[in-house]
Amino acid sequence: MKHSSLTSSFDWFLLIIRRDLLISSRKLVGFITPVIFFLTIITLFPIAFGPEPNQLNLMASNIIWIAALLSSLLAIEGIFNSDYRDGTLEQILISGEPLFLIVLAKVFCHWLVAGAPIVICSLLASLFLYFSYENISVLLISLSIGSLLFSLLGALGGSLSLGKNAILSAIIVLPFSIPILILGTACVEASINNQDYVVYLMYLGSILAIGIPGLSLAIAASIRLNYE
Amino acid sequence: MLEVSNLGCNLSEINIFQDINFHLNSEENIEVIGENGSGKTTLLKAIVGLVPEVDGEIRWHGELIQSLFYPQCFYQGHLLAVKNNLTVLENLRLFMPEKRDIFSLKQALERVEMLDYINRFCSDLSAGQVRRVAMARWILNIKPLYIIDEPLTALDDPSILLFSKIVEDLNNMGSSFIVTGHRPFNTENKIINLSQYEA
Repeated sequence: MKHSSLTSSFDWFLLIIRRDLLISSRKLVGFITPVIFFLTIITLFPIAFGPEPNQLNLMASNIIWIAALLSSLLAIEGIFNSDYRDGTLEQILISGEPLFLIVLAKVFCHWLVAGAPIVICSLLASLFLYFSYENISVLLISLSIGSLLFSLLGALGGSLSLGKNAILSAIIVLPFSIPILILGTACVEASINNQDYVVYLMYLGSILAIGIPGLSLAIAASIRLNYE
Repeated sequence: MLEVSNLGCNLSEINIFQDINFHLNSEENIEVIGENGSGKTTLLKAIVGLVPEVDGEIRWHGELIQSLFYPQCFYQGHLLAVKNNLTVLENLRLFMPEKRDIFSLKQALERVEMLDYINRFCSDLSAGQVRRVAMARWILNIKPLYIIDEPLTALDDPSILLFSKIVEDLNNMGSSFIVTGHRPFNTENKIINLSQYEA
């Protein structure tokens, strides 16, 4: 017999967001590490390829996308594992509330803490790589959608490897990220070449629209699986 | 209130226990005892639906249910769901969505003698003190049934006394307890010895 109403489910949604953001604000390491990792990867490229503006400019958007993908992998472990280890996930499961809603709250918090700062830091990264200013808005929009998708995929990897090695989840997530990487870089390149980039944004947006309900249900199912 | 009949559980095709029958009225307590590995935790988890492949029937007020849920019972497992980087107060306030005023939170902390630690981080507390914080949650979330795994772990003698008093108070308010342990703490309680049920 399940007793859950819409209001109580929404209360749970808000509770998870409040709790996760409060915990993140106490753990600044989790907040800063992806950003520093992101900027470190970005600086590796001028070191490896030489500080030639024309050459870097050509690859700037691709470098930023790859760095964003890699740094999103860094934070996967934190999404569910701490809740799993301290028993919070058990309490969530027996609350009888729809699990996908709680998953969405957790993924959203994770994006706010680990995804959004990277999107903002890509402004700084575009300076390092001589990225052209006219296209910066396209980069930011596509990267916002992309990083949300990376967070969702990361949560799927995290839920499949609950209590296990984080590397495992990275290996699960990386192949699924490839289409997003292709569309994201193609989008920015189209904008640079004055071609129609909106169509790529639409592709990314539609993947996100399917991904939010689809992946959160998949994540919820895989969390349940861990308790069975 | 709660009736369990022919409860059995298999985990990875190993039979943990089978044919467990008991019934529990309000204001009654059950203590599940048994050796390590006899399935005490699994029995509690089977009742709240955290393990699959459970045979048997669970009836709640005569109604057949799959497992108990939060609105009916309060479950506390081995893991206490106490967040280390939240303070004692935040751990109480952000445990369940129900809004609590500061007065009732302080009252609950006073009851478990943890009021002095209200703004301390739980990472700074001892294991027994963390247990007390968890106990404050019982008082804040009054439920008809409490299912508590090994409540006496890490408790010193005064804390055990406090625990017994809280259980008694909640009993007087009509709640029941199912707890696990290695030896019975109150002779009036019903006892299920899982060592006898081994398959």
